[in-house]
Amino acid sequence: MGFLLKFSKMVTAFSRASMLFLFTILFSFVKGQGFKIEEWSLKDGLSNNVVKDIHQDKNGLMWFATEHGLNSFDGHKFEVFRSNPFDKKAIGANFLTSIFEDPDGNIWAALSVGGVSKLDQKSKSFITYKSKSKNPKNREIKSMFWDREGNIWLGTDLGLNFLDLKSRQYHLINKPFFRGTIQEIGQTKKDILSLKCDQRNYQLNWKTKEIKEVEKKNVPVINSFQGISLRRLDRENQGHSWYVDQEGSLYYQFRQDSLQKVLDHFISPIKQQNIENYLVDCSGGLWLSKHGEGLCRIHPKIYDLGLFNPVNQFFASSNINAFITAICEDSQQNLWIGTAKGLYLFDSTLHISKKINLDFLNAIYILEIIEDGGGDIWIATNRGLFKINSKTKIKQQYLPESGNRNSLSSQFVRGLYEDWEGRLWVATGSGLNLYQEKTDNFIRFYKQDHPNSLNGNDVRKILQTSENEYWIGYVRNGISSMQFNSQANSIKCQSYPLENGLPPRALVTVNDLFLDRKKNLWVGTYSKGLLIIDTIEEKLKFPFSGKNLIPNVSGIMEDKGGNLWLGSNNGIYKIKGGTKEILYFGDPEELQSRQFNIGAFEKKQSGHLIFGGINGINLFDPSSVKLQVELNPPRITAVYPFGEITPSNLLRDHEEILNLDYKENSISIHFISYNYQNNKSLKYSYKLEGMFEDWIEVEDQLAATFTNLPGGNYRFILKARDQLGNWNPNIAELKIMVRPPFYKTAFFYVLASLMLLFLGLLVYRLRWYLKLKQLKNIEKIRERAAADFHDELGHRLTKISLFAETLFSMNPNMEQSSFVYLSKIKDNTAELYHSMKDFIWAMNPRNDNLLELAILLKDFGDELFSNTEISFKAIGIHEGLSDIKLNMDWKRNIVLLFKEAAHNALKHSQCKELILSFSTFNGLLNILLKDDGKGFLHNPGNRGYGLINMRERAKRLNAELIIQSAPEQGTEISFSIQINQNINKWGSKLG
Amino acid sequence: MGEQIRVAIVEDDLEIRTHLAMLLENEPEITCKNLFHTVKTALASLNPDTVDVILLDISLPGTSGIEGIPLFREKLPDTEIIMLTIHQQDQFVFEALCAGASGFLTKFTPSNRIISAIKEVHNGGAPMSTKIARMVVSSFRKRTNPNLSKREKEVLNELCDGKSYKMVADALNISRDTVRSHIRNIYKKLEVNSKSEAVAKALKNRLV
Repeated sequence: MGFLLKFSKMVTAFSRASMLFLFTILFSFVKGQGFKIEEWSLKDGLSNNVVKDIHQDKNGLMWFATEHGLNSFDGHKFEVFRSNPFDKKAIGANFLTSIFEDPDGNIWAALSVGGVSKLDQKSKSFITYKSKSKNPKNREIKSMFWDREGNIWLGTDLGLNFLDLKSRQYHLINKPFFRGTIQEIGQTKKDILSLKCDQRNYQLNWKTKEIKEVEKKNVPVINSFQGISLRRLDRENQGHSWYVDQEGSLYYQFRQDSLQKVLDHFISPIKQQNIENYLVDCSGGLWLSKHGEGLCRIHPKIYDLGLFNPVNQFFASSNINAFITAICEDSQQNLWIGTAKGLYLFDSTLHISKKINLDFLNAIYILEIIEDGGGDIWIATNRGLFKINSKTKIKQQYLPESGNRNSLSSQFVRGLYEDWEGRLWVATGSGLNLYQEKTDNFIRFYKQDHPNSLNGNDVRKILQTSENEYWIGYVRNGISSMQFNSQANSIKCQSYPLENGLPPRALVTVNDLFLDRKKNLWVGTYSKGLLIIDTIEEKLKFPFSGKNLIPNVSGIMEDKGGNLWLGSNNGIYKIKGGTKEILYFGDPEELQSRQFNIGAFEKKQSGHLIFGGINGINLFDPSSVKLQVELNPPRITAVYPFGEITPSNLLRDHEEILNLDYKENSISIHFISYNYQNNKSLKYSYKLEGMFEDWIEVEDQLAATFTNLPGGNYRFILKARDQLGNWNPNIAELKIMVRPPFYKTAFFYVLASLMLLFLGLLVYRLRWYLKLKQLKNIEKIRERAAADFHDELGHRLTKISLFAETLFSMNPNMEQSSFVYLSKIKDNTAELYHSMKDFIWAMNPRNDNLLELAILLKDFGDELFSNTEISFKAIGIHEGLSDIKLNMDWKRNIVLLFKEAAHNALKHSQCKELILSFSTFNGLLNILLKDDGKGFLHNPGNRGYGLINMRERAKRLNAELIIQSAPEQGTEISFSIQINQNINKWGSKLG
Repeated sequence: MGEQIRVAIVEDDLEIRTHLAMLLENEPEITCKNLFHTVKTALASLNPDTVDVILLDISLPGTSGIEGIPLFREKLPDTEIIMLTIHQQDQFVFEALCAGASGFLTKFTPSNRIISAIKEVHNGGAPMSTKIARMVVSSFRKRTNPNLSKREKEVLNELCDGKSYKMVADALNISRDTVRSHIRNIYKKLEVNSKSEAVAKALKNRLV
């Protein structure tokens, strides 16, 4: 470890306006005090090495005004804005002097040639405002202010100016007439500005044009501390303060903590008027421009792993190779440190006490040092076991003695352990030993053939975890649990395999065993990293879901907070207690080196942890490794459509929800947390709710890409974590809505389902219609078939009748009996014929109403009585009758009934007049057949008149049939039936 | 009138044809000697001085009876045509009447009724049932220029109401014969109308 010393010359000449200062960097000094400097210049992307102004905007982004361009810096890269004579939207000039920020967060850059350019965040374009006055003194803008009423004020070397946005000019306020360099502008009340001009303070009412000078109590910037008067460099920010004293030394203070000197002769003790050249950012870092060499930032380290400690200093200054192999703190808080070049004892203040000689050759490799209950120090080496008596300080060496079975089993002593009973166990490369104090010798335990013996003879670690449970860690032989029978001085072991079934002993070399406060038993191994013992399943397991996250563990310790600290060959790890969160400390500037050695671990009584490695120790208070700086909250900076060559940012400020078209459903969300130190150790974690259920962690990439998002609502949430594993409580959130393509929108679904419904209905109706058509066709066919049949029937019947008639006309004088039968033939044929005709009539659906029935009966009557003496008339027939519907049953029966009655009248009544009348009344239909014939007697014997049939028919229809007949009084047949029609529509016409 | 009424029968069924002819022959006032089985053969043989009344079957091979009516009316304008059919189907009846038939009978009608129908038609009568009357009325109603006379309309309406000829005569204070001749005229006008309609239809069709 060497120290770099850098000295730079003091530059004496500088102009009043320039902000030159210089400092001496003593890297080591800075480092030793827990501070770090980072630098940026042209080679890092800064547009120019002369930085005239530094500004941090309200989002945390850094802005630098240089002699050639405006820069913004997000911690990773610089974005440069230069002027372009052909581009009106570019910044007005390259040589800039100051940066201002308006209340909306837009950056205004003052141009050296005069004027100011405002950068519009959204459009990334500039608008330049120039001085209306031609006076060259009015060009350079020294101050700007936005008052509560929305007016924009500028201060130049000439006076106060008012900015007119429309005309893009600023003009001097002449009333009141007032000239001087306006350094500061503020506002006290409405319309009243407070001005600081040439170190004097004024109040100006710009409406009334009154101006008056005021006494302003300047806030003292000189603090006094321990007799040193200090001047604060910048406004205090988040508890971080930086000071310089009269000699120009730099100091830092965090809140109420002690003031720390950072650098000597930091700034030349000349005027430091222009405070703009310093900036304390919101993370507490101090930004400075190094004249002609760019920028730098000084900040306190987030954590300090105690690399700069007296022990390391001792070794360094003594040119001793600090290859640390064993550490032990004794009960007096002295520190015994074994190195490759000997054993050293440090007192409780960590100052060297002495070096202890162990043998003359000094070629001893110390593997472990412990203090037993009696205060004796035991030292395990490759040349035997040493004991230093606490009182007498006499050293005693134990070595194996041939022939003495109770001597140490091997001179290569790997590990030492004092169990709960105070017994000292000694692990050697060839056997496990138990020290017998009384006899000052050892009991040896070797591996035997039975399964309950040791796994092997090369033993490294012993640990007792309960009354009768010990654990043995081997070199290349894994782990076994052990029970010790103190009476018999015998041990019984059980080997624990590694969980995925590998042979238990092969290849697992145990470096350390550790029982934490929660009784977890941890095993640090050479190649399998950190393992944990599962006593229930009797296995060794990987504690992190089967993954081996830490390849090599050389030592395990637990701090007062319950967190595990591991040393490895790759740095230091911290596992937050009770979690699976691993923090890694691998910064070579903070560590003696990345390699820590087995056995070189110790936890001091104070709680400090010591990690020893090949180049010294790290000694620190683990609880001090805490956050002093809060991360800037992560921000979503842009959303780009994925895959486009020149993408444009889809994200617009102040938008609640990002609405995306379906075509834009592949996006890249860019995010960052503006952080200017230890950027590499930041971790981001994001989740897209609505799509994925898991958090995705990233370290280096600052964008999350999602492709082919289906339509819907999503929420992108982002959080950031610093190196110490603290998640910033602020979460960046972006709501995204992907408009589904038309064919996936709810509207479309509704439309489609409506259409489908409609289609379904159509299909249904079509089928119904087709079925109906089919039925109609069948019906037609049936009708035609029936018609054909009836035709045929009628045809034949006609012929039969004709034959009968012909027969009769051929034999006019046939016998009576023959004639009778001939008549019967004719009559039956006729009946059949008429019956068929009636049937066909009834079948016809057109004849479903009373009118058709009435007409039928009338026409029938006309025909029946046409060439007779009887005068037949029908009355009460009118159009209205067609409203009364009759079903087939009615039709048939009424027709047959009245035809029968008519036949009766024809045959038997000998009447002169026959009237058929139709009438309706009160929902009752009445058909009346009345003759003025001779009547007949009602008696059961009158069968010939078919009265029984008629009554039957009437009964069938639930109708009333009244037959009134008396000799010489004619006959009246009245048929009444209930009809359902509303007959009030029409009245009955009685003819 | 002292002469016999000369009746021709156009009927495709042999037995019906011959037996019917025989029955008619037995009637002294009727002679039935001309028997045909198709319209074509009938048209070929008949001429105005050989026949007074034609009994025309509807269902005939070749030209149907209804199609034949106008042909007969053309060749034999003074000859009455009585349609014979198995069933009294209204559609046929009306068509026949429109075409120029004078009456309608079912084949099953007893011969004496056939005979009296022949006589009536020959004497200028025209049988019209209520049903037919209604159809005639509705047919005329559809015309834009119903060219029935006032009396004819009255008669038609009375008939539609279901009155018999006698009743119509009583109602209108005219004789039964007058009623009958009115009906004949109505039929004639129906025929004319139908004809003109048919012509118009044909023209229309040709144009189309």
